[in-house]
Amino acid sequence: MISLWIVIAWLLGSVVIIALVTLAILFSSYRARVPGFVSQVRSARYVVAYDDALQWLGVRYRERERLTGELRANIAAAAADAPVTEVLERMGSAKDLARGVAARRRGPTWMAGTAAALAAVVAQVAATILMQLTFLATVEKVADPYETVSVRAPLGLVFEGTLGDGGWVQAASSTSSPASLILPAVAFILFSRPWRLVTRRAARPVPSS
Amino acid sequence: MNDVDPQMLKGLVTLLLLHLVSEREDYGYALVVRLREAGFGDMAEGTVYPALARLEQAKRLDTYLVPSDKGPARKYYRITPAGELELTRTREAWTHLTGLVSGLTQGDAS
Repeated sequence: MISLWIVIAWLLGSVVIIALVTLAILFSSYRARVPGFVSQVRSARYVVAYDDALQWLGVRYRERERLTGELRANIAAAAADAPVTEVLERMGSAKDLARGVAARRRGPTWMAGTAAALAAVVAQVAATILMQLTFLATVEKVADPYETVSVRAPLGLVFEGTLGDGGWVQAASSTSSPASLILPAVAFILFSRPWRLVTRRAARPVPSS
Repeated sequence: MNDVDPQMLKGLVTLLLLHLVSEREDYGYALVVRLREAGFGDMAEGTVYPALARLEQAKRLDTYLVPSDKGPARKYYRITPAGELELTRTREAWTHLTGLVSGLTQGDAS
């Protein structure tokens, strides 16, 4: 029993240490060199929000690294003249700033595409469950004992159920087809905007020397 | 300085930044400070940084990094030949516009 607690404590300790190390690495790469720990956390939070917004807008990693580096340098310089809260307030919302800066750097928004595809999958699974429940309730109402009922739904879904002698469905199944991937694929394409790969080339930034 | 409509300032930010960078190469925050010192106290970083990014994208400004002892390397902006042309063109347009506005408003007054 004691050894189990040791293992649990060791696991929890490892998780905490890994989390702390990850946070420290993230913090060090986003913080601006400003006086005071709280100010550093505030500025790091702003830079993270800015980087996040740039990522959602489809700005590439290397470009984001350059832009966040520039912002950190500007925050550090501004913090010598005014408190960090005032500096950040003058910059406005991190999202708006990112939108302004990324206006002509936008590439495909793979993150938004993935999120939209996942949302479509979740919605589709929820709709399938709802249809399955409705189907089972209908089978129990209208089918004769030992009768197998099969129904085709949109996107290649097929529901099948066999009624037992107690008035309950004794066997049920649903099968899907590759057509069920259409909705997530369309959502992915619409939201990730891959056509920007072509349009962005015209607006490639001047490389920093 | 009298209060200036922020929308009016937004339209002028390109001219102002190109002019400042043509005078002296500088980094983002230093340009904000120079604008404030020139009397544009309402020109916030949230307006200046996107404008600098747009000018860089349009190749009116070029950039290079200078190491800083206060944090990450600073991105300095310098004007390109295309930026010089844009500055001349915008200056002329501005002079023409202010001439027209003055002519109209002062002409009405006299």
